[in-house]
Amino acid sequence: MSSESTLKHTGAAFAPHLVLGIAETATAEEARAAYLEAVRQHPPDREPERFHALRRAMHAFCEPLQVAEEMLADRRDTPDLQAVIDEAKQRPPRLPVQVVLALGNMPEGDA
Amino acid sequence: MGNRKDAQKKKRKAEQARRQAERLRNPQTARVPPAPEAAFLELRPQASQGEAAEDVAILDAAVRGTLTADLQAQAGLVCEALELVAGGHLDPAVDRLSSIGRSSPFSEWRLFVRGLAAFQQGDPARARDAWSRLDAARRPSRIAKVLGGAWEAVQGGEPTTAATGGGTATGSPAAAARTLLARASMWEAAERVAGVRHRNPDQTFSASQVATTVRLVEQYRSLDPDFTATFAVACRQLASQQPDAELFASLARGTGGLADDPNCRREIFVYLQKFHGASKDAMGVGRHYIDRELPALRFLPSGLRQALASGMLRMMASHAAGDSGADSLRVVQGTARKQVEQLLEESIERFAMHRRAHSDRLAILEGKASTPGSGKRAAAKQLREAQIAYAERFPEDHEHLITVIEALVGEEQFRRAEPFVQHLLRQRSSHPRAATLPWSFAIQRLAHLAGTAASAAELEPVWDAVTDAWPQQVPHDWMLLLDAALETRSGSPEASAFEQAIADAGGAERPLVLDAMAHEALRVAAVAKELRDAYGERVARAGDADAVDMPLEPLVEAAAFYRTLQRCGVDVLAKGHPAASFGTRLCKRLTLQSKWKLGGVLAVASSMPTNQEAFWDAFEWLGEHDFFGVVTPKREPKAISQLADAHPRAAAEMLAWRTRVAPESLLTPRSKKRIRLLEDVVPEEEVFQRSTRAGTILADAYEAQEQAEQQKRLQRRSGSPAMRAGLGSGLDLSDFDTSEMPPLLELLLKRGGTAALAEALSIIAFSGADGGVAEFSALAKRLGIGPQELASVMMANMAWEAQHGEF
Repeated sequence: MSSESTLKHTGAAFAPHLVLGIAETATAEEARAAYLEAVRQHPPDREPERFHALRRAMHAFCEPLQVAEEMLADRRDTPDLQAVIDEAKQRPPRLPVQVVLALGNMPEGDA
Repeated sequence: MGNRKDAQKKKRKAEQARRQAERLRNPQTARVPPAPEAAFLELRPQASQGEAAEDVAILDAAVRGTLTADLQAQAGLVCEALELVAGGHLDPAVDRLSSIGRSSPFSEWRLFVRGLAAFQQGDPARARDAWSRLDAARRPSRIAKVLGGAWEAVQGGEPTTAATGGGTATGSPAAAARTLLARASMWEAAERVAGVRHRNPDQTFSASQVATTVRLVEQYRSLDPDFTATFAVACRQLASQQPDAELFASLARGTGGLADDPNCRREIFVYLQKFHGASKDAMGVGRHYIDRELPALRFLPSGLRQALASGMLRMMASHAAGDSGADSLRVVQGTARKQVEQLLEESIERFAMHRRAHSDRLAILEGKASTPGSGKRAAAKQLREAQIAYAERFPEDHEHLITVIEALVGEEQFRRAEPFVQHLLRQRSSHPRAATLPWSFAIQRLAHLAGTAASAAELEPVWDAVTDAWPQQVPHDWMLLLDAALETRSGSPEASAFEQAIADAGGAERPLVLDAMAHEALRVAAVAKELRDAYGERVARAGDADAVDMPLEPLVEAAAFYRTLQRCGVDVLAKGHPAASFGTRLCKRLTLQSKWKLGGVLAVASSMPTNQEAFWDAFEWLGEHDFFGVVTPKREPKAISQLADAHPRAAAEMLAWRTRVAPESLLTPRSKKRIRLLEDVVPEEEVFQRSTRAGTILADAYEAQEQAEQQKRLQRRSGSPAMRAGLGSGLDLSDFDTSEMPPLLELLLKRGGTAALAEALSIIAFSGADGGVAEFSALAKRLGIGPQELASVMMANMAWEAQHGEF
């Protein structure tokens, strides 16, 4: 399972505390402990993308300046819009909870 | 006829410009209709008759309330997990349900969420694997079946309801799912934006694309928040590559940013950094983000919010400094300096461990402290405090720490310097100056205390520190002399004890070096001037041209002693110190070696004692303190010159001296020959310190040679029409015909005025092997010239040069 996509390819909020499963107000020490525990449960060799997501989340608590500098960097690569579209076509959209649940409604004839 | 055509063309262009401006001002002028697929987003779950209570509990909070407390909690977790998936937090969603056991009626939901996360990830095989174990009679299984089937159909290219024009919210869940997953009309709209081809190669994103993208995001955000966000990011990235701030801001405002930058203010701020003269606008946008938006982004750790604010404030400072015309923080002046200083202070306040903000503040304060005026002393004090604050925050920066220690020692602030010295000792720093620093600190502290009314008991612990840290390379004899000098200071009857110490150290056999040591010991111990002057006088007069019969060795030994002290951090060359006149005389004495040789004086025809390490210590000392130049400014004394032509170590010292005092002379054949001589021996040199020193000298010489060559090129160009027109000097363009300039310079003049032109000319003059591409790119960036525009004007330049010759 990968969370990296929630950071790189989606409009989802970058919420490090959610990735690490800790409180918003957690300290750097708590974040580091949660990170170590999570890495133990999801080793990088088995879930490399999740490991990257966990590491980035931990850095947001423990190395905030480094993460801030990445967020403030001027990106110079030239994106190919068609490639962005083609890549997005390979992933289904996130649907609202109510819509997902409604897909389990019995078809009208069967209800 | 022609006039009418021109007028029509002008009118068309004006109308086009008006429409573009209107689009940019308000890209959402037309009301955006909902996406054709949006009707399906209104679907709501409905419990069917006989449906499992655990499934209905997920749909209906009232039913949830009827479950046992334990089951209610589990149902709550399922609802949270579903919300997390909908928010894009897939792993946390799966983790949220880890406490639900296999025997729980909610284990079906746990399995479903695991499959749903894989499905959202674009991994239908893993999703199928999880979903295949679901109970077909339960709702999770039905949802999974619909989603999986719809996705297969979409991937297989089956037409959907909305795509075929019959979009309604009714019909089967399967049809709804197919339509929602297909997003056919959204791809069409996106491909319209992606398919635009610009006639102007410099254009990366047009006003019409801005309008279409803004509409697309508005229309499809609810249908596919991830794609609209990603696509908008890519579009903004494209738009940011052209110098059109209005267009970029319009796109940014219209599309909105990610959750941590909802109104794209941070993105606009970063974009504006590229523009010279835009610091005020950037500051306005940045300030709004820092003060109003950032505090509300509670999902970011507070440290990260502070770091973001600090980083942006530092960028504002740097931008403001650039806009003031300064090319480095040290030269910012006036109100701009005040503003930059305040911004950097705030940056540090927000994030105390922001090293670069500290460094920038030090640079500003260094400039302030070197500006003549009444505030110079206060500025120097402020600078020192900032340096100390930096050293306290970043004690691992040993280079800075040592500089601060030396500065504090120079100001006799030993108490403040001591914790830093102790830190260096604890850290076992590998910095070359760190090894002897505790000793030089202690000895200077001893000299300071000895100069006061401090008692012998007060001096004792400091003397202990001196002896404890005594470096191996400093002669032990000097320790004995220093001890005797301290005894003399503390009231030992007369100088006899001191004389005895000199005799014990070799007395008449080594008269000169012992005179030098004695003088230095008495100076450190602050013993009466009359007593130490006797030794000092002898040192100062040694090597006098009259003393032709004096062998070189004692002179060399004394100079080597001074060199050792200097290497260990005790510089003796203060004004009035006998070493100053001794160095000059020794240098003249070396020069005489050659005259005697030419004059046929056989007694002194022997060569210099190059086999003695002390000779090379002395040679380095003379070179580093510019004694060679005292004899004949910027010219080598002849004997020394001959030695440098033949001996690599002398060649190295002479190159080091020339690099420092006369870099242009490194272009002479003689210097080049010496460089080659040194290049040949460096790989063979086995003594680490020597090879390191030779390597450093060579590297410095290469760099100085390069600069000297650039300087020469500039001088050669001084006869060109451009220089005659005053571009390189007074910037008087009145008589200069700009039509003769290559297109690149024309563009720079247009965008940045004469200052930019002058900078460009200096780049041309000083450009190295790369033709100054990097510098031109940096200049162009500051003037808002994008890479494509720059590339195109460079091409035009090449064509111009092919026609007119190199400028």
